[in-house]
Amino acid sequence: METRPLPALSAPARTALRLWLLLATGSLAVAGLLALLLALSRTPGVSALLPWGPDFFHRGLVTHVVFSFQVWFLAMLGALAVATTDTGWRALPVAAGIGAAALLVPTVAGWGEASLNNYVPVLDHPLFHAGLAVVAGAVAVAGLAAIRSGDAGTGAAAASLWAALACFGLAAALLPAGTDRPLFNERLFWGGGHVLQFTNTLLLLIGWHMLARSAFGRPPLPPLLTRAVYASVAVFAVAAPLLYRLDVLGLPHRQAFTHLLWYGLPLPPLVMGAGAAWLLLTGRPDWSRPAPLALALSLAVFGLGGGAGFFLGVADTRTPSHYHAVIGGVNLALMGVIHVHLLPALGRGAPGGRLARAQFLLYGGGQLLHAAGFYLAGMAGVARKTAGAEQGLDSVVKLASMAVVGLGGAIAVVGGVLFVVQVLARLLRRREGIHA
Amino acid sequence: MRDRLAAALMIAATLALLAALPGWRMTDAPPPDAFAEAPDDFLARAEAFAARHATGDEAGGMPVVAPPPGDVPVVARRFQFWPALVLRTGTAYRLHVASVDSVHTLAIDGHEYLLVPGQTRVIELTPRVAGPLPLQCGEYCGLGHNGMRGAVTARDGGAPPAAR
Repeated sequence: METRPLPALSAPARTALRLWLLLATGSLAVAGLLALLLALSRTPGVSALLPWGPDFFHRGLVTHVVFSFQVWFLAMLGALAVATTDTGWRALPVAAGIGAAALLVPTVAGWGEASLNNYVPVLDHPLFHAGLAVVAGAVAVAGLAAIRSGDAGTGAAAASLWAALACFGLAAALLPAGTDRPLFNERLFWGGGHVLQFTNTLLLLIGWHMLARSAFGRPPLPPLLTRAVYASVAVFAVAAPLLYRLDVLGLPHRQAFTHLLWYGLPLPPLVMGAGAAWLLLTGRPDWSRPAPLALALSLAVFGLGGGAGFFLGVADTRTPSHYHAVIGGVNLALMGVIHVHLLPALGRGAPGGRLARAQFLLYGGGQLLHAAGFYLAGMAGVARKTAGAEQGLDSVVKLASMAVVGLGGAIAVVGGVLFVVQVLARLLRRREGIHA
Repeated sequence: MRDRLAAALMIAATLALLAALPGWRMTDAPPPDAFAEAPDDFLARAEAFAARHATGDEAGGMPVVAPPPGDVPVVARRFQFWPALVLRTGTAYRLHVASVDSVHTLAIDGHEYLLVPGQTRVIELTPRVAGPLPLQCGEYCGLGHNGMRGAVTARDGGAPPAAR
């Protein structure tokens, strides 16, 4: 079946779901705190007051990315697996939480060099790698229930996570001992990191499906086509480990995974996105409700990022434009699912009214500006992953577009903070059944 | 019925895309010439060449070299392509590019070439238009990776500026 309506949850499943959601939104809170510290570490006068050394920028950046991207998405897969299958494996979110806490130790203690490799940047320390493995492993085990239940959406997402883990394992086994550490980390996470994008895309599609059903009383696509769309994503993910037949250190290996995304990722969101857009255009959405708002903004932001993905440079800010927007699109869908489905499933009500609308509008609008600014800056030649004088903002276009990046980012942060505070406040309440 | 047909089309399109995936290698860059050369030997060759053809100017802390047509050694290392080059439009060069520390790549003119220490890559290059020639490392090689860009400029054709 396609992603089915959520069942009434047993008490153990409600506990497990609450723990997964605490990890998911808690990871966003940690990421936000780190983002604030990153900004302070770059502020003249303030940076000297921080207890960390000058290399904190890169260390904090690594952990910020891991919490705001990997931990958040993986924990949401854990939450959706519990919510769709009514399984109460409480030990798994606890284990994942311990893994996430382990990521913070090297960050604060200053252990390991920062490695800004693609997809899963790391602090090059065994505890950091172990923390990542525990988080991903716990979610993968939680996903087994989804695969076994036959729920097409979460089952496909869990299967693609297992494929990503297989890629990480193959890379670890095949990389020669003594490989230069930056290259080692790049190639260790390259293949599996690409496959995780299939998992994240499935989370997006599940989100669109659930939001459309809530907003319009029907899903964006009929049942068989929905299953085919989910299967289409999963097929590419599951085939990915075969690419390890190519030399893991070679250029064809690297390029093959890029092409895997180009061939495998565009069609499914295009098909389901078209169905969701048609509902939004013809279904007279009630914009005062979070479901259609989150759905529309998610479609717009993800569409911008997806389009940008076909017109990237080699190492300029068009790349962060692409990934900020596609991640923003997935975030909006998941934020909507939490509001519309998961908090009510816990009997913890969903914040409503202006505040709920504001968080989606601010986050979505801010992400649109942020990504558009990055794209224009990249076209003007601003290099990615640089800051300060290193950016070389020597023209009006570069300066103006990076100003738009900053403005959009600030607006999105306000929306993100509103979301995290509202959701955490409801999750941390001791008793269920209190509605906003 | 419509649903069934749409699902079948979706599956067919997916399988067609999956089958087409191996075809991407057909459009890959032609393999460049390459030969084995010890990093120390290559570095010595590049430094001697740069000393012969340096203009006396500096760019980004590197000597600016105006080479004659033909072979031009370029050192790849964290986090630079050395030296800075001034080339002439319409003139054929053969860049000899090698890494002397770890694995890098050279991304130039829409193609990317793997640079492994101990192997010198030979890449044909004829600048067509005057101006800066984008050239950078495309393989993550450390925190300075994104700044690993070449300082190569093409000027309108004619005799290269006098070297020292």
